[in-house]
Amino acid sequence: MKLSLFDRLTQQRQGKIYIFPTKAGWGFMLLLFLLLILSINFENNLAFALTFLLAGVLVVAILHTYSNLLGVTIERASAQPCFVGEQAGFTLMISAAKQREHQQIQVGWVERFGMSAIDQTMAIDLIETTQTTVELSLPTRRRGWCIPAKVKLQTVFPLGLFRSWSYHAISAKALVYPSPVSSQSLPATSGAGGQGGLTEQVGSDDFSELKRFQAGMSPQHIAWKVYARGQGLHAKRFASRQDLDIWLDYDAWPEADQELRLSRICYWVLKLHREDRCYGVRLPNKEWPPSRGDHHRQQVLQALALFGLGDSQ
Amino acid sequence: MKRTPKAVDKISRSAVIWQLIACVAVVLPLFSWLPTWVILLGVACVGARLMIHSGRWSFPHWSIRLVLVIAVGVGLLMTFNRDASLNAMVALLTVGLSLKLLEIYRRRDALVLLYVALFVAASVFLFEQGILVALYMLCAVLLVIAALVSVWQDPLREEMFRPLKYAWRLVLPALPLMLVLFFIFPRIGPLWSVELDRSSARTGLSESMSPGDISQLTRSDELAFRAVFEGEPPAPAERYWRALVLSAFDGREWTPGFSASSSASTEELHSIGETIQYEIVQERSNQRWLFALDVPVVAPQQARLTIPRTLLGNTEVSQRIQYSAESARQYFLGAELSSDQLDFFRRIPANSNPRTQALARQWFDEADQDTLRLIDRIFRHFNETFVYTLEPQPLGRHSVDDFLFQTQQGFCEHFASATAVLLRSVGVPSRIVTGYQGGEWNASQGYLTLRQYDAHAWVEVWLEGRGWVRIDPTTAVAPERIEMSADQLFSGQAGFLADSPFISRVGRQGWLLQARMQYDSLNFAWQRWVLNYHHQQQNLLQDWLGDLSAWKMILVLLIPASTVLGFISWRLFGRRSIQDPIDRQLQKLFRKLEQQGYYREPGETLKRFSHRLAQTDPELAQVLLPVAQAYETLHYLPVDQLKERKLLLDEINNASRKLK
Repeated sequence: MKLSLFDRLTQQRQGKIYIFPTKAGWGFMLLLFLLLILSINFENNLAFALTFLLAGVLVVAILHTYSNLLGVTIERASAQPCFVGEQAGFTLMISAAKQREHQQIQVGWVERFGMSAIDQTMAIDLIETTQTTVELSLPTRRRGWCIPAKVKLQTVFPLGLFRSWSYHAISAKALVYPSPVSSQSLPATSGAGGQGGLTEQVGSDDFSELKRFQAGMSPQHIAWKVYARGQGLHAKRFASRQDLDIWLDYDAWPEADQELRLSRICYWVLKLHREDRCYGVRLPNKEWPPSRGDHHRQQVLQALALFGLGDSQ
Repeated sequence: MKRTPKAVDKISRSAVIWQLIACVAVVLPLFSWLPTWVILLGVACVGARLMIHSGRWSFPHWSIRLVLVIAVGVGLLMTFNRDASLNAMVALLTVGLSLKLLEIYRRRDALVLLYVALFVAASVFLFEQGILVALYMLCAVLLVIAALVSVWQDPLREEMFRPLKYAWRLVLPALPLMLVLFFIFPRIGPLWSVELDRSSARTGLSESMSPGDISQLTRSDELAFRAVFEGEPPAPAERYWRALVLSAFDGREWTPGFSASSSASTEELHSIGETIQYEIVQERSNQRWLFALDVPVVAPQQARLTIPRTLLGNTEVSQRIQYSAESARQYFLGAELSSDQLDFFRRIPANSNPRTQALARQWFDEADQDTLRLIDRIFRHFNETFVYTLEPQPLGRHSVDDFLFQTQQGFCEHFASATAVLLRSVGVPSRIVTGYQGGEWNASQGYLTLRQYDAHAWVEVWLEGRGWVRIDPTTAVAPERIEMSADQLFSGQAGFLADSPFISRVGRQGWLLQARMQYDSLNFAWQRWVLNYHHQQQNLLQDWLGDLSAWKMILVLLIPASTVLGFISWRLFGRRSIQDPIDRQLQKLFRKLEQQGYYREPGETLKRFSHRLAQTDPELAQVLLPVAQAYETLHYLPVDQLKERKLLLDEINNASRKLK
């Protein structure tokens, strides 16, 4: 399907560009009207000429304001996960057609709840570059996917007389984890290994070995004394960590409701991950055998975020 | 909740400089019209804003600003004495701009400032309308637009010239739009009457003539009027421009005699042969009379004919006006006047100029009571001993006696006055006509320029069967005055152009004269086609478009306007065609895939896209995979770019073909 010129002008693939005078634009038109009255009344042809020149500038400004937004698209968007109550961050890569300058393009969410979402500090210039990134954030109230509304690109450049804007859907969605809620102790659970009764003091297990430090190991376990002796960075390994399989069980807190349970599991996942310990998670519909590491944590947190939310996988 | 101005409302530092430039540029041409203290205030404000800009001063406290506003208000009231004139308005706007300059640092302030600056720019044209001023104001408006661009650009951007470049891109395409609008916008009269507050000093001929009045005019080369002829102008000896007829003499001074509103009918005119038509562009004189070649047949729209066939405007000529006129070159004027009516033109005070009256009677007797021979005698007398000079000696109470018997030197008014008195002394009806004689012919543009130094006075004598006949006593003493232009004749005489600037005294020969003529025609074209366009518009539009109709006007507006806008759009939007061929072909490929229902997600690499496709349609993925590989090779591996680009392009085209 070939797009006609008209289609290209009116319906960019990413969305229509709308244009309307700003308050300053209406003010300018009032000024033109006053100048016209002045010219007519004094029969002054040079004043007429000035009035018409400014009217011409007004018309040309429409085209420039339109063209300032034309070809500007959101090339891609990515989202950073967060916990309920935090701001979900979105990174948008704004790109422009080649060979053209775009100045002062404001980026913001489409207005919601009557609040103006365009933040003027977010104005970007695309001069001598065709792409740039912009960080936007959204407040979160529930766990699960945070799916942003459309993004609005807007500009009043060059003369501030007209405002042109367009809406762009972005495919990025941010994962919102349950907010971590601490609980004093981890209730005894009947795990696969039959271990139980963990308290917060589990950290003092027997030291088993030193391993050469590698990226990704917890800095808390660096053997500083060894390092101080000039023998390089080593991480302490604790035997009990490997031996004990800690199970975080959804059913461990019968008194709590679903969200609180998820929040507590979340807390413990974060804590155990920080301590670089092995843990398994058991939810009513699925369980993850004890493991450690970023990938494991990621999987578990995602499951917690999406638990019970049906098909939003 | 208290709303604090957002930091982003601030304008950049370079924008502040642009505001200063724009304001100064707009106010500069008004300098000679503003009171001195307003200029000083403006300079002080610009200086203060620069000090603030460089960080040496801080913004003035609100109390200081309040005091300033009050002081300035009182100053304006005292200067203009509550008189709402144009000067006062411009002074008020200038003062407003100056004070506003002090506190600009937000967008809002800057916008108010620039909009007012544009208004001031328009009001400059109420004072000055020359070509140079117009060109200058075009540049000033460009600077104001640049300042407006600078307000809206990134507050951190500091390049000074970027806004100017952008303003140029906005103003240049607006020029043709301006021309079209200027051309066809209907000019309706003023909506309400306005007083143009200009100097009301009368210039040019005055309503009466006493000795020395006209020679006084030769001190000035101020423009009186211009006359445009379709073909050849009349010969120099025929260029008598009639302005006033003076019929009453009190012994020294000539006055019109009957009032302009007298109910008597205009003297009859019988034209012999062809009349001549022409157009006159008359400068502001603050007097009521208009000019026409001797003798006007009809009155233009703006005037009416007086009894002795001069043109009297409906109002004072307080700005440049333009009218077309028609004159008879050979004629009988007032041939049927009755003896009673003619008595009026025989009156002279009985006891004035006794020696003149006696001389006239003596000559009349010698001439056997023949008027023509008497006139001949008078002219011969002038020719024998009289001197034609710009600076004659002053005359006493019996001015004609003094002139004829003592000083024997004078200018045209002396000779005309003496002739008329001599004729009246023996009962021959005669009167004085004042106006202009000659004019400088500009062949390239086809017009005559008449300046104040072309002012002239001559005599009309009534002859039985002929009516009023023009006789010019000046031809008797200085025939060259009529054959040559006044400036050729007088240049070198003391007193000529004594009140004019030096430049107009030297530029009278050779290439300087040429240059002056060129400049003059340029100025005249400017006046006719731009400043006075409303007089030409109707005719011009009809010439070009035939009968005017609404749809024709709309077409005339729309066709050029859409051409210009189409061109800008093409320049602005059409750049997409210089796309990288790889990108273009790739886009085509994606569009084909979209038709089959496969969309590439934003940010998805080609490789991941083809892997995703492989899950649903392995065949399609096989087509796309080589493209993805070639793409990655080109972009992420250190390879021969040219060769790889070619390979990639081949792969893309290959895939496109397979997709069909």
